[in-house]
Amino acid sequence: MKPGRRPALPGLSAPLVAFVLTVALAACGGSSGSTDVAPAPSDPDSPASGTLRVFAYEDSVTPEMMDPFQEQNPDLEIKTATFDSNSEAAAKLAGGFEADVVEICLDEAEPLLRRNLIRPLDTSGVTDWKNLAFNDSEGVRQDGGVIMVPLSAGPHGVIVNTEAVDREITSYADIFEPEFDGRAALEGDYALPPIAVSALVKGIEDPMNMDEGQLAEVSEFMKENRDHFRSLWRSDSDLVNLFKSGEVVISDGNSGQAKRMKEADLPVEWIAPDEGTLSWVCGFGITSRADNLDAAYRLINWQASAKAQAIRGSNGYVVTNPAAMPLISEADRATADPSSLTDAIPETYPPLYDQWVRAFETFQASS
Amino acid sequence: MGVPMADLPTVTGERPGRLSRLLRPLAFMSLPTAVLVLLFLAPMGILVYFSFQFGDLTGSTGFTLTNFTDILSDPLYREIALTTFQIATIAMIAQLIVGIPLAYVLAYKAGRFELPLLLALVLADELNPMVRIYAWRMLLGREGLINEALMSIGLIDVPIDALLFNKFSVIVVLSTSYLTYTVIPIYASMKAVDAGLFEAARDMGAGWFTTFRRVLLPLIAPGIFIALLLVYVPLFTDFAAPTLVGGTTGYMLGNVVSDLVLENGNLNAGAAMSFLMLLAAGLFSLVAYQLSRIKQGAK
Repeated sequence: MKPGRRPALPGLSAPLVAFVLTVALAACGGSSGSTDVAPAPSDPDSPASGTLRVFAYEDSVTPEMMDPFQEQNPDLEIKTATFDSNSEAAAKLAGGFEADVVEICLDEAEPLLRRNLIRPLDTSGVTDWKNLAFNDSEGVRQDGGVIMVPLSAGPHGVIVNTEAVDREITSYADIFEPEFDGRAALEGDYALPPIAVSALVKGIEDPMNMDEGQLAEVSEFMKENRDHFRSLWRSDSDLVNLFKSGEVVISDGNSGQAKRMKEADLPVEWIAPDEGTLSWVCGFGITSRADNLDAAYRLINWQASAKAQAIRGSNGYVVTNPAAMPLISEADRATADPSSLTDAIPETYPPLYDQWVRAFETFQASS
Repeated sequence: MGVPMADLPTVTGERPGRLSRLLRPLAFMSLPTAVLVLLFLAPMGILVYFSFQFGDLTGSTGFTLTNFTDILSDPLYREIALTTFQIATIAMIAQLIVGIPLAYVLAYKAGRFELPLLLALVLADELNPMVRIYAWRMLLGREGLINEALMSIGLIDVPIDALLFNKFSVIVVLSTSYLTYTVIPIYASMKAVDAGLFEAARDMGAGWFTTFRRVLLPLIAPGIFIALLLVYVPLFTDFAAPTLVGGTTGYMLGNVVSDLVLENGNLNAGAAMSFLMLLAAGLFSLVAYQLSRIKQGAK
């Protein structure tokens, strides 16, 4: 799940409800669809009709994002549904939930791919394809095919309280400095960010593809530093609260979060770390059982357009289409600029992810 | 004065047949039973079914016991279970220490304030759990009310960090989160106890502790049993408190299930873990029931 995208921490019963729903849906089973390249529409400019079912993170299908698309396609019936993670989306799609377009995040895409729930795209049907950032990134292309059109990103750097810290912060390693004992936080809502950050601090340049030895080294490093951290943050509001209440003065986090903190008059600064900036990348793909391919491509083109991207930019995300930059307000431009991610390290699904999860559990449970 | 038989009103109509007498209660029971089966037993059945299935990202499934053997043989899960047991047990004991005197005051000493106090206790539980936990963070935090108060009266010079983001704060939050469910059943069982018994015990020379141990405790044992069922078992599955106030040290079994299902997408392992916790809860309930019977002097 993406910081800045995920809802507040689920209520007490949320896991149970999610469990029962996903189990019930998974129990229903579902038919497999096509995994061939989804053919691009012959006339990408003509309005779509029929029904389009969109399954995405909540902020990708807000009225602000979808209403202009509906106006462009008055004869199209749009149905939207939201999820909190690609694992949840995969379980529901595998269980028979019907959708034409699904939002895919590179670090979470594996369950969708392994179950053949998405089909490759024909990039000739995506008008702005060549201009989009991350269009050639690891994960966007799988076995030679393009599985998603990147639409937004979230650089994950360092957030520091500039009033409490009077020296220059330049790297993830600063978070681990002894001077911040008990005053530092680390993202802890899932295994990938804290382990990737720790790996970069340990000098591992390609954290997503760590081997077992490197992972063990990182795991040990995290355990050694466990008491250094005041807390692990699990949502945007959690992180904001930790800074606001003076519990922490430094943490990993993304630029959108720092922007929102500044808007709340918190004296913070976001820093792109020297080790390289981790970044989540999300976009839209077409499901293997999609019925309305024309409308699916139309929606993807709308979401990748400068206009729609400008809306994303104003919501604190990095856009993937540079053509949106002139449409974004001066205040939001620095945060939204895709060129800030030229050397970013995209967060992709690690080959040893099960072991990452295990390492993170050990980190949290060890006494 | 007797009434002649002939003057008694006669019951009209025939006596219902044996079959009708049997079917009528069944008819009354059918709807609640159907609801119970549909909303409670069916999900439970699905949970048990999935706990015996293997599943991977490709979607293939089949029967297996490895979900259970993996969990039971894993030292990490044993460590987490031990942490959970410690936290839940201390929180439960703390609630009984606070809850029994509170129930006593409500039942025997509150007088005309009994109902308002009871209402206040219930209303306190209506507060959204997230809000309640964040309120605790404001109280226990580095710049929280407790630290501020202690510093303002000169008791401490620097804030006490140990109040928040550790097992202690998890225990504090859990203890208060379920207090209503601890007090109400104990209060209800106390209401059924004749207060004259305490007077009799005093007349026979018993002190307050002996009266509590020999008279009150055995009589409220069923209430304590209900409180344990309502509170101790859910304490093992709670994950909100450890997540929000546990810092890096409060990882509990509830968090494991949550992570297995929501983060790892491993429904089978999550179901197996839940099933094992359910079995443990059942076992615990049996033991608590037997103990409450012993306290009462089982008939």
